[in-house]
Amino acid sequence: MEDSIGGSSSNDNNIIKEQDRLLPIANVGRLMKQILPQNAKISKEAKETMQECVSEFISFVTSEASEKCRKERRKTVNGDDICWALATLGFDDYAEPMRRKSRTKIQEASTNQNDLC
Amino acid sequence: MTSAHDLTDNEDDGQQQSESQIQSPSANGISDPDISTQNVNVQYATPGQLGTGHAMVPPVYPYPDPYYRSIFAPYDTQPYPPQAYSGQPMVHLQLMGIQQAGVPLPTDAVEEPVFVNAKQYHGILRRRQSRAKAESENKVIRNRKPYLHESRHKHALRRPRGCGGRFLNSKKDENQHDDVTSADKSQSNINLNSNKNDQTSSDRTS
Repeated sequence: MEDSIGGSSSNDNNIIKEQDRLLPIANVGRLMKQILPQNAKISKEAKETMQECVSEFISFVTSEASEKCRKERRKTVNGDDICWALATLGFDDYAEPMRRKSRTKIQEASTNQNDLC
Repeated sequence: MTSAHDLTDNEDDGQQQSESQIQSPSANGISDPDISTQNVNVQYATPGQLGTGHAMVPPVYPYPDPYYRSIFAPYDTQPYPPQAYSGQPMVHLQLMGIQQAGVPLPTDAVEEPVFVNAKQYHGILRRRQSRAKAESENKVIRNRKPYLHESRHKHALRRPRGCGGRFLNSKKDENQHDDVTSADKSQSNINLNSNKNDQTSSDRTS
């Protein structure tokens, strides 16, 4: 699927498609269903609202991380920047579990490398 | 702030792509150009009149005026006010918890101040400018399409359906049809299935 380059100011005809701006609604619905009891129902309106919320949250946190990278003259936003942005924006309760998850992934990668050697 | 965005765009193509995605606005419900104009004006007027260290917390939405709804756009989806009201207590409680850690201060230039978490103030302003820029440059589609591909939509229309409007001989579809709308209305089921087929296509592509 071709992605439209939305940031270019010279291309006024480019339109950010819905599928590029939002997470897939089926995946959002599935995540919402995991936390609910077995017989619970979720309206389409609820899924669309949650779709907007989570997509905006991603842009919000990533924008904060990107600003930090800009100040430090770095081009790549990494996982630590995201954790830092979560803490900076006041989401401390989420930043710590995310850090632990990131470390687990790094350890797994190291283990795989050792197995290959 | 605009020069900052330009610098970011000049650094890297990958970064530029992520920036363009970051700048995508989420205010899908604002279809009235007047409201959009007001929203843009408010967004650009705010930085010049306010200093640092301000905080905002989204209150309940008692205002029927669309002007106030546009002000609260960063926190809520415009086209679903009733659902927003029912969902608001959860968000409000969470933000109240965060507010205890931060310092809430009145910040908005409009008649009634809006309180936010002090830590998030600059991020909110940056996001507002990004959304305004994306709207002015990219003409983001505001109305949701019922489906993306005509051929898939027609295929879904041709599939046999059982009682209640659900597709026959498909366990995967049965697992995904849990929402009230698809259970009640056959017509809505058509749109839902088309959307899910399109999402499956998106998953396959990614």
